[in-house]
Amino acid sequence: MTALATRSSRPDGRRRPRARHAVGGLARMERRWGIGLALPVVVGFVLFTVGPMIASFVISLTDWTIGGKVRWVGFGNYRAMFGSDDLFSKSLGVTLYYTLLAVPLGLAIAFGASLLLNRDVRGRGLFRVLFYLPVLVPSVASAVLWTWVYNPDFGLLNQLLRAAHLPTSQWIYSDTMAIPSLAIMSAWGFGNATVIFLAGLQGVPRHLYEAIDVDGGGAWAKFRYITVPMMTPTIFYNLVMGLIATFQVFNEAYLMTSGGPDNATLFYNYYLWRTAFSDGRLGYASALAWVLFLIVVVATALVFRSARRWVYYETGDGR
Amino acid sequence: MQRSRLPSRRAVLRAGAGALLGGAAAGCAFVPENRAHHLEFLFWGSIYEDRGVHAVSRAFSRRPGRLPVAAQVVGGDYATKINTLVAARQEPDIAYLPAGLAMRLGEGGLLVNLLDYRHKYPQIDDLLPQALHYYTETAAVPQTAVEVMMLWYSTRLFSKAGVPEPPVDTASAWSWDRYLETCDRLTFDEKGRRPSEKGFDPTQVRQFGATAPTTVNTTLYALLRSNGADLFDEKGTRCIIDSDAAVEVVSQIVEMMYEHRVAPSPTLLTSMNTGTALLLKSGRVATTIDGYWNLLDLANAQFPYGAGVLPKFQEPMTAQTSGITGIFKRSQYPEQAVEFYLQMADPRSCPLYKQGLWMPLERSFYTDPKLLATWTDTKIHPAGFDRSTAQPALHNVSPDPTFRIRNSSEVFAQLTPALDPIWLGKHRGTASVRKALRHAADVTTPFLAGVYPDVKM
Repeated sequence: MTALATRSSRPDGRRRPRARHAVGGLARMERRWGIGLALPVVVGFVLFTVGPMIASFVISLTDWTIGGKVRWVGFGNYRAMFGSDDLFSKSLGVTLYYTLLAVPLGLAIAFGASLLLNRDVRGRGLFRVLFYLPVLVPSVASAVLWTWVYNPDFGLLNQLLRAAHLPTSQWIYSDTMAIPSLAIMSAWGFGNATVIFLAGLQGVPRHLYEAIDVDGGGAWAKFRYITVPMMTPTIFYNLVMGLIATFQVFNEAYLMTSGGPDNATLFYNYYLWRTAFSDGRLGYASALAWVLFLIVVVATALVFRSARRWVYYETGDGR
Repeated sequence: MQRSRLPSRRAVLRAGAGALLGGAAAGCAFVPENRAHHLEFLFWGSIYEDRGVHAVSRAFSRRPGRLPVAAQVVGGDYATKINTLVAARQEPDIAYLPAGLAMRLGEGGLLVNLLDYRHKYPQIDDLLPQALHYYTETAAVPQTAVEVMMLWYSTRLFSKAGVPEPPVDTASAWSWDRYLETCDRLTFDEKGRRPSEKGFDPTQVRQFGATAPTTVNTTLYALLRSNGADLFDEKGTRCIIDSDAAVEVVSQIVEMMYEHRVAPSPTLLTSMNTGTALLLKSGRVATTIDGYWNLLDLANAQFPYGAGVLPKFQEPMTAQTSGITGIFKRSQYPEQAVEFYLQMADPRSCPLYKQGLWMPLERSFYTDPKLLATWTDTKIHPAGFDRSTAQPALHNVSPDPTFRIRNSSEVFAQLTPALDPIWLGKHRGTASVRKALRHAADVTTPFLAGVYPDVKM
């Protein structure tokens, strides 16, 4: 008798119904294969993501500095972060400012480009390729390229402004213009979001536009009352992806500005990296990482919560 | 038919918790052993340095009873690599170390105290005092080499402009004003006008007289010390870059770029900069204050160059820097690592001294004419090199403050970007520069945490 049978025996000798637990041969085989095939991912996730996350949380409760002795400090790192670390608030402010500029700008440009590319114009395929090309440029190459574009003396932008007799800018070398400059640079890689928007646009039913035509509405009415509402799930997706990406921005500060001038581009992730691998303060850096994780979770949750008010799903509550 | 059942919820939870704890333990405690039968040596550097280091390591390994040396040059972000290795307890036997990290690891008990070996290797007692950095009162780590700041120039551009070349004696070092005057005679716009001449076009400069010495711990530091100023107070608890003497030096450097217009702005320099040797060779710049190590590139660039002493504010002064070569206590062969280091430090066995990358660490290589000749009697060392470089390295030198200051990585991460707006020309005039320097001092001071004993002169 199986263990199951033993356990399911009642004092009165009758057995519990086993239908809920018992499975057939095919189902059993499917389950074994399912577990077997999922196992590498699950094990990888546990070992290389969840495990290190727990480890980093434990480390964040210590004052571990590379080469030094490790002491348990409880939530001391978190208290220091919110109490006395000006660079924490500075880096958080810089990252939020960048997010507020880069995400809407990127969404607007990508959405606009997708509307243009969705029209039936000659060479549409070529335009789609051209708009997508910047995505294929590695981020390091892109950073080097834009460093030249933004050079105040020789850069392309200031040359154009000079030619038009307009005032020039110090761009990434100015503490006030550095973040807007990087936000403009990030918008250059709008191709990914554009492709997703394009896919969304092609899913908007034609008969809705025809209904507007019948009602005598123009292009604006079609855009305002059909395109935008029908595209809100796609906008929502790109918004969430954009938010997460901008919270984790690093390359620009590392390659172009080193966090300067005067910490104007001290992005949170760059500060985290510097704390860990330049200052060697792994305990504090782990605490910074956990706070970033929580910020991203909360921001994403807030966006999801707000989605109920502005995202329209044709199939009802089909999230 | 055999029946099976789904695991209970409790069993799933138990298995999950076990896996998580296992994962966490893996994250925390995975410390593989690495004790191969060789010396592992990690360093940074150019292809020339790589060749030089390998020449020494091959010669070392050929000696009887010596281990093979696995010398590995690390490209890119060296500090991240070495920090990660130390955190994972996978450090090599011996490695180049950035100044701040070396002092921290020494204090943390991870590095071998070189002084423990002075009874066996008497040459340790001959090391220049500024090349030994004490992380406690009795324990020190040595520099990899000695590097001092000097005034490099293109002799062709000087003779073309009919300007006398910089002096090689500290006694006759140019004043800062004289240096600016010379730079004015060496700066030309596209139409051949000098900055002091009417109609000079600062947007179309063909040749600059100088580059602005703005590197905080080396070129700027040499000039600050020349004017009696410093970056930090004695106790290392206050940043004093807003002192009157410092304000004067920084204001003069700002004026050099934006008023006298004899040096490119930092942003313009970024677009021109392909290294000191090519800047001088291309004729874009006539002089530049930079480290001794540039001699190696200058020699390979094949054009006439010279070296003089730095201009002075009050006293002639240069700054000295270098990385540390640290031997890790976890090495199973610390004595062999010390021997390997000493072989690297000997100009008779390491070609990098003659090639112009390093200056020796031992005093006798500066004071004994025969030993001095072993590394300076070459075709690449400019005329008067002994007086312009070797002697100031002994008598007119301020050690890089990065070694002395605790927490130097964080301190300089505050100070350097705080000075950016000044170098970018946002602050002109003494009052504005003073205000900006006060801000720099204010943001830096909270990160200061005292000093190491450091150099015992």
